Amino acid sequence: MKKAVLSNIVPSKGSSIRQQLLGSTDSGGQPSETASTSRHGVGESLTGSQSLASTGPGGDKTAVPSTLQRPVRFRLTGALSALSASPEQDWVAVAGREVLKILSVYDKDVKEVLNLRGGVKLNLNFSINDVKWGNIFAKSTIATAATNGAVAIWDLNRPNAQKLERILTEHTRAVNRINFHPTEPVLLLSASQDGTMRLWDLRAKSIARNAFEGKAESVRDVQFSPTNTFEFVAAFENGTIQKWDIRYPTQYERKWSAHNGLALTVDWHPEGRWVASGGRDRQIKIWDMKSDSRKPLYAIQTIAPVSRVNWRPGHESQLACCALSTDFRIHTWDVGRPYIAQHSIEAHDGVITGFLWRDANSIWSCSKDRTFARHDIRTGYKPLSLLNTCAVNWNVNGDITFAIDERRQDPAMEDSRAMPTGSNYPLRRAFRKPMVPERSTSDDKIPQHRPRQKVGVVDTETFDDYAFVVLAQDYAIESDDIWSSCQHNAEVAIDLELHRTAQTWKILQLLYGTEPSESRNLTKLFGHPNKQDDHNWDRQAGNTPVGRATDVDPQLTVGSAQSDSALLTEMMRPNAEGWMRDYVVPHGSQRRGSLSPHHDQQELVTESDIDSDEGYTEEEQHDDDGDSDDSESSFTYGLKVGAGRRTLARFGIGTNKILKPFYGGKSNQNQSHSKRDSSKGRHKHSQRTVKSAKVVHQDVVIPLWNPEDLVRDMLEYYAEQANVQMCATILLVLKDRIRAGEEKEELWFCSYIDLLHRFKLWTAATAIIRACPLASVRVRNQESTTLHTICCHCGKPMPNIHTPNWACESCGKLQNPCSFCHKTAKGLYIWCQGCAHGGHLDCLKEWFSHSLECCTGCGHQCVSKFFALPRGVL
Amino acid sequence: MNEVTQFSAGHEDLIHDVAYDFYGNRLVTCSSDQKLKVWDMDRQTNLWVLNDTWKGHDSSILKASWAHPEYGQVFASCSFDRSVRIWEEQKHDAYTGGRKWVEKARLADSKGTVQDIEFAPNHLGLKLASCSADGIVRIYEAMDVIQLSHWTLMDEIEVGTGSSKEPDAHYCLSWCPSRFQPQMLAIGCGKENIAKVYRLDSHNRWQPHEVLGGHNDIVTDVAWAPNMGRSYQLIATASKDGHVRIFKLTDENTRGGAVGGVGGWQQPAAAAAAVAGLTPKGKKKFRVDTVADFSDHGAEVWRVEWNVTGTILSSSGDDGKVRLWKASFLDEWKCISIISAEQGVGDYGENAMR
Repeated sequence: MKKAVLSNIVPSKGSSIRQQLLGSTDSGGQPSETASTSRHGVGESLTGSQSLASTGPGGDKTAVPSTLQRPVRFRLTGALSALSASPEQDWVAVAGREVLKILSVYDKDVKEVLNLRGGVKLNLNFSINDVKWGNIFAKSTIATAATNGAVAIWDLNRPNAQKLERILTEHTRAVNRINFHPTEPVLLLSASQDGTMRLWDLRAKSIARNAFEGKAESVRDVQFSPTNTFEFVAAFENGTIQKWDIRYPTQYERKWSAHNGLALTVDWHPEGRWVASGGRDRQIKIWDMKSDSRKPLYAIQTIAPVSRVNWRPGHESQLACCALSTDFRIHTWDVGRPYIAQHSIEAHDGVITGFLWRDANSIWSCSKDRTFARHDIRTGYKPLSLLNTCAVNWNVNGDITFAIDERRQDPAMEDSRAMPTGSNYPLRRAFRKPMVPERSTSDDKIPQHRPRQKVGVVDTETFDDYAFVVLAQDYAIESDDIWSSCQHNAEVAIDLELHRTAQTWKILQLLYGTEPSESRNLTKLFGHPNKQDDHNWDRQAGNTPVGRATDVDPQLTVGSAQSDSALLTEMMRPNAEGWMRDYVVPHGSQRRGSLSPHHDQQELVTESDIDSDEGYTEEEQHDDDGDSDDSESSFTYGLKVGAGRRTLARFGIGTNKILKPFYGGKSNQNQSHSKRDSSKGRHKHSQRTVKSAKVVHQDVVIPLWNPEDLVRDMLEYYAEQANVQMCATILLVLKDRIRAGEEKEELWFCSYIDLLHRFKLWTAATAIIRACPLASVRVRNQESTTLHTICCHCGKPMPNIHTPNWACESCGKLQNPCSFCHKTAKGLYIWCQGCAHGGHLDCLKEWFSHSLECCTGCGHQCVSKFFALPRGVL
Repeated sequence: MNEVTQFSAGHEDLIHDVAYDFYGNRLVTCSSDQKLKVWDMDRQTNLWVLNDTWKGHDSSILKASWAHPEYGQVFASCSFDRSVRIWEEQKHDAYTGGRKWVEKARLADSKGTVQDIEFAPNHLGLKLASCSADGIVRIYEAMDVIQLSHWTLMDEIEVGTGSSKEPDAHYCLSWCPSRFQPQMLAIGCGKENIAKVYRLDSHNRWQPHEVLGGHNDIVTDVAWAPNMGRSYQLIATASKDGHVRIFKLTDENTRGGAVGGVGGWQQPAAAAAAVAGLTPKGKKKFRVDTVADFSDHGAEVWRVEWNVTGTILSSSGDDGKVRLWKASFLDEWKCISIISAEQGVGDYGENAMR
C-alpha cells in the first residue's frame, strides 16, 4: 500500500523518492519509536519540523516542566522575520533581512551557535522572509525563503563556507512562507507573492515538482496537513483559504472565503480535521476541513490583524496568535471562550513576526525588535483576572441593576481541557494509522463557555421617587404667605405619609407663619371678647392659643398621624430631651449643653409688630394664659404657638442668640396694613422701638428667641440626608428669613434642579429656577433657552432678534396678518380655535356681526347660530 | 425589600458594566462578548426592552458612560482593544442602514487597554476622561457638541510610574461631580495600591493632591459621591484586597470659616470671595479621613457605586453579592442590605431613609 501511495505521489520520478522513503522508513524504526514513546504534550500542530523535538539535549523536555521557565531574551543585529526550531535540539534558526543564525536555547540563557550570514555578502537571496528547519529525517537541513523569490537550502553538516547547498529560483516575487512535509524530508512547499505555490523535491535539481496556482492573488501561508500526506492548505490575499491535494495540482479541492481582506496565516489542528486561519480583519476562524459549510466552526475576534496562529500542543481547543501590527503580545485563546484570551504575554517591544510552541507552555518568538525570546505562558497574565466580574449601577429612583458572578472559576478549572500530564499525545504519521481517530462529525464541538453571571434589577427602596415627584409638583413655593404655604406643604406631605416632613413644615409654620385673617374672628370668639379688634392682632395671630384648632386641617390634629401626635406629646413634656434628639437636629447633643434652666421661667414674648402698647399688653396676658393651659391643650394640635415656642426655649434652642425680632423683619403680610410701613429698614426700626418700650412696660427681661439656628440645623440635617428637595423648598418658602450661605444655597438649588431634570419634571424645575432668590440660579432660565421661529409661508428661519418679526425677510410676506384686513395684527389678536383664522379684534367683530362663517372663506362656521353675536354687543 | 427581578441580558460572556442614562429610562450593558446592548424601559409593562444590540469593539468592553442628555443620546464605551468609541442614537435610520446607533468617534490614543471612562459632570462641558493600562489618563473634549466626531485630547496625565506600567496594572477614575469645586479627578493608580485626587490647578495643569491610602492591593474602582449640599466630599474605593473604603475629604478652609462662628454662613459674598482669593484653588487642600473600611466581601471587590444622592454606596465583588452601605448619624457607616442574585434581598437593619 505504501508503494501504491508513493507511486501516486511521484508518478514521474518515483524511483529516487521511493528509495529515499524506503530507506528512511526502514531505518526509521528508531526515530518513530522515539516519537511514539517520548512524545506527549507536543502535538505536531506546527510544521512537522518544529514539533519534533525530543531526543538528544531536548529529550528531557518530554515532561511539561512543572516549574515556570524564566523568560529569556537574546538580542540580534537586525530585525527578525521568522524562526524555526530544530527538530530535536534546543536550537533555533532565526532569520531576517540581514540575519540568519542558529541559536542554542538553554534554561537560563541563549547562545549563538552559528552565523550563516557570516561569510555571505549582502545579497537579496538572503533577505529572508521565512526559515524552516528540516523535519526529523532531515535534521541538518534548513530552508530559507527570500523577498526576491529565492528559496535557499542549507546543509548544516557541510563545512563552514559551503553550508549553502543551493538556491531555488522559480518564484518571480517574494516567497512568503515555506513548509517542509511533516514526514517526507525532501518535500518542501513554498508560497509566493506571485500567486503560486510550488512543491520542491530537494533531490531534484532546482525544478519545482509541481506548481499550484490558487488564482486568488498572492499566497501568504501554506501548510501540510499533519495527518494526511497529500493535503495542504494555503491562505490568500483575497481572503480565501484553499485546501489542495498534491496529487491534483491543477485545482484546489475546497475553498472558503475566510476573511475580509487578507488571509495571513493558517495552521492545521494536530488532529488534522480543523484549520485555524487568521486575517487582517483581526479574526481567527476555525474551519472544518471535511465540511462544505461556508461558516467557520468558531470565530475569535482579536484586536489586531492576525499574522500567525499556532495550536497549543496538548490543549486541543487552544491556540495562540500574534499580530501583524499594534499589538506586541502573544495571546492564547480557547475556542470554547472566544471573547476572552486565556493568557497574554508581552513578549516583545516590536511586532512579533514568528513564534512557535516548544511544549505546552513554552513559546519561542522572534520580533522586529531584533530579539528572540522564550516565554512560559504562565508567566504572562490572564486577561480574565483583570476583568471585573460584576457590574452595578444605580437608577435615579433607587433601583439597582447588577450583574454579579458567584465565583470566578478556579484557575485549575480553566485548564481543565488540557491533556492530563503524561498522557500520550501521539504523533500521527502519514504512513501509520492515526492512533486517535479524526473527529468524526463536526457536531462534536468544543462546549462554549456560558457565563454564569446573574443579572437582576432590584428596587432598594432607598429613594421614594413617587413622593419626590408628587412633592416636587405639589409643594407651594411661590406664595408670599408663609402660613398657608407651610400648611399646604404639610398637608401634601401628610398625604404621602411623610410625617417628619409634615412636622417640619408645621414647625416652620409656627415659627415663621402668620395666621390668616379669617381666624381673627374665631380668635375673638374663643375667648378674648375684651380684645380690641386691633389690626395688630393679625400679626400676632400666630401666638394665639385659640382658633388654631379650628384652623388646622383635621388630619393634622391628634391621632391623624402617629408621629405627629407623638411629637406633640413629647413637645408638651417638660425636659423632653428625647424629642430634641430624635426630631429636631442630629447635633442635638451639642445644643443641649447650652440648656439654661432660666428659660423655663422666663416669659417668652414674641416680638410683634405692634404700634400700640395696648395691643401688646393684651398679647402678653394672653400668653400667660396660654402657659397655664399647656397641659390641657396637649391633646390637641391646636397648642398655642407660645407654648410650643416656650418648649423649644426650654431646651435652649437659640436662646443664646437673641435680640433679633422673632418675626423676621420682612414678614410679609397678605393683609394690607395701612399703618405698617413696608420698608424693611423702617420696619425694623419701629420694632426695635417697640421692643424697648415693651420691656420697660412689662418690667420683665425677655430674651428673644431666634429660631434661625434651629432652622439652619434643620437644613443641615436635610442636606446631610441629601434631601435637597426639602432644603430648596424651605429656602423658597421662607424667602429671606433664613440664609444658609450663598454657596450652599446654590448647591442645594442646583442639585434639586438637576434631580428634577432627571425625573423630567421640567415644569417644576423651571418654577424653582424662577422662584429662586439667587441670581446665579435664576439665570439658568435665560441661558441656553432659544426660541426659533420660522416663516409660516416659506419655512425659512426668522432672524432670532428680540423685536417681533412682522414680515419674513426672504419671502416678504406678512406673518399671520389679520384675516380680514390683511394687515399685520399688532396688539390684540383673536382667532377661531376651529379654523385657526383670526385677526384684529375690531375687524372680526365687524365681520361676525353679519356672518357666522370665517372671513377667509375657509368654510368654517366660526360662530354658532345660537351664540351669534347680537349686533352691537361687542 | 423587594425581590430581585431577574433580567436576561443575553450576553455571551461576562457583563462588565451596566449604565443607566441620566433619566434612568435607558440602560446600556457592555460585555466581553464585544457587544453593546441598549435597553429601554417600557413604562407599560415595566420591563426592559431591547432597543438595539451591536458589536461595539474588537475585544472585551469594560465600561460605558452616558453623556448628559443635553448633548443627545450619546454614550462612550471603552475596551480591551485600546479604543474608546462614542456612540450616538440616530433619529433617522435612512442613512445608517437601519442601525440605530452609530459610531461617531474612535479615540485610539491609548497604548494599552482602556480600563475606565467617565464623562465629566455637565457643567464642565462635553468632556470625557479615560484611563488605560499604559498609566495615562486622557481627557478629551468635544469641540463641536453637535458633530461629536472631533474630540480634542486636552490633557494627558501620567499617573503610572515604573512598575505600575505593567500590562496587568489597573487604573480607574471618577470625576468630582460638584460644580462648586475646582475640576478634580479621583484616580486609582495601578500597582501603587493607592488612589489619588488630581486637581486642575490655576495653570491648567493636573496635579496630584490628596492621597487615598491604606490599600493592600490594586484599587479596582473609585467612585466620587455626588454632593448634594454636604460640606464635605466622599470618595469610595474598591480594592483587590477585598476591602471597601470610604474617604471623607473636608475642605480645611470652609471648615475654618465654619468654626469661626455659626454666623459664618452669613458672611457677605464679597468676604467669601476675598477668602477664596487669598487661598488660590491650587493650594487648597482637603483633609482626608478614612471613615469606613469594610472587608465583608472577603473577595476581590470590583465595583463601588454611589446612588444618585450620594448617600448610599453599593459595592460588589467576587463573592457574588452586592452590599449597600449607608451612614447613620455621626458618620458611622453600616451595611444596610446584601443583595444576591439567588435569594433576593436580605434586609439588614433599618430600612433606609424616608
